[in-house]
Amino acid sequence: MSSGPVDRVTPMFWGIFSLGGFIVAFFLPIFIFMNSLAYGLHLVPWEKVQYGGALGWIRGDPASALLGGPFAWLAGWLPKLFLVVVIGGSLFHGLHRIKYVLYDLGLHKSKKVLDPIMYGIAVAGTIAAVFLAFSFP
Amino acid sequence: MAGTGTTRTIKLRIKRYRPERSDEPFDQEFTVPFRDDMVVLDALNYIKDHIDPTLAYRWSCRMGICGSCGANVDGTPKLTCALYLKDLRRRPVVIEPLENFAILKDLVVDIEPFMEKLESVKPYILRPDDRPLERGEYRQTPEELDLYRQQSLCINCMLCYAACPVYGHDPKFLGPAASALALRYELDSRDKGSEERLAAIATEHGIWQCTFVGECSVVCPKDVDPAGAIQQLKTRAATRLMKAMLLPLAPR
Amino acid sequence: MAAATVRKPYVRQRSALWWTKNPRYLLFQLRELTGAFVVLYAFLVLWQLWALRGGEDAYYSFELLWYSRPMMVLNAIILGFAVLHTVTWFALTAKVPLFRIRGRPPPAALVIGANVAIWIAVSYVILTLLYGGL
Repeated sequence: MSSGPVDRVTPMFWGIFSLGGFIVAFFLPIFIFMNSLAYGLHLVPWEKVQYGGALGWIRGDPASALLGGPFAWLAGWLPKLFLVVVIGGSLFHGLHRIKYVLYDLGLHKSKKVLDPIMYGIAVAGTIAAVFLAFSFP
Repeated sequence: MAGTGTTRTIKLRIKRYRPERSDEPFDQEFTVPFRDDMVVLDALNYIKDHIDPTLAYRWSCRMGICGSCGANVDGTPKLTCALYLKDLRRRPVVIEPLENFAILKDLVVDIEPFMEKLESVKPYILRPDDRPLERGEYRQTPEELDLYRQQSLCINCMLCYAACPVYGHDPKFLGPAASALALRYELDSRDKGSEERLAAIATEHGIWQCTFVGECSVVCPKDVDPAGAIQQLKTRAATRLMKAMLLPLAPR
Repeated sequence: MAAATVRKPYVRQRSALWWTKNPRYLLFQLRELTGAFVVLYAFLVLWQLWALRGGEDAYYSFELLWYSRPMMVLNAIILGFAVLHTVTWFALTAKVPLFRIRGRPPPAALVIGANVAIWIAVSYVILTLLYGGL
């Protein structure tokens, strides 16, 4: 039977899961390609991926070359914000899905324990992303 | 077909269950004469009329509108009156009671929990301001009718429950048909009972258990699209909650 | 003098391999599995950022692993699942009409087409703005 108190928590996480789904769908493929595969496929030179280049990426060097005038300050924020959004979106979206896969395997009986663990990991990972991304100049 | 004098036949394997005889279901095979214009229900009726009158199964209109004759045929939930024998590839044809329901006898399943779920979504016009009869009917344009027409076509055949893997592992799940019924009233311009109805279905075993597998909409014989209906309900419930949290004083 | 009715409903157990019963169930499981792979990638990137904070030598050792053959293969698989997510996500959003055109929900082809166009545009913007192009 479906009677019971109105669930206010699940819709919130479903909403974040949905938003995360759009973020992952639009942002992740190009990010994985550029971040992990492009160099191995000889599409970007070593100078772009080595330590200095990576720092430059996170500093927003490519963006600042394009954004002039009143938008120049944005350049430094873009890659960091991008990282937080992609990592946070992936975690909240993916862990919500994994949670339901685990329910399907019989763990729905432990949902009072499982739910906080899954969303807890998502929160922790997102906070870590914020700290790490913004720890760079 | 003419000339040889031999009648074509087809073999069916039916999962039967006689609670007074055994604790477990058992398979029984039947061979029935086969014509191109026969549907599975015709074969079942032939068995009952000529071979074994104890075979129990539900049917009524034999034209796909009453929703009585649902069964799993070759693994897929189908209306037996709407499935031609000639379109089935496997031999023998395997007929089982509708998946995910408790078996009462032979192909007859316990539909009581389903009926309770239908009731639980408050499937009637809810208005805080019920008009007295003298004031006349609540009028509706064809465009307003069109908004909920699709969800109103449900014949309660329960094929969607047989197809749903979430219902398969949790019988407390509200399920596709009951949810589509809730949306039918949500979208009805005469209804003003959103808050009450959403409160009834936006619960732990309500719409939030759905993981959008989508098989319910695939097997629905009436194209009700319960899967899409549930996602619409989720969006409505989530939006309502957001509005309530961000604009607590706004009228709902 | 009929025999007393015996009511003993029989409850069947759902098979653990229910999702092998038809191709749509299988696609559903693969679709849900994409969640695991995007979570994996998120953690890989967190590791990457941690290594970057560690300085030049730490990052160099990290990159020896990051661009090694096995990692490339793993990341190609992750990319495959990410693309599967994108494609199935667009198909799903097409099934939930959020608005109506002249009283009808928009045709699925239109919704998916629009999403793909946006996906290409967004990817191009990211490529140019964040990476300075190829």
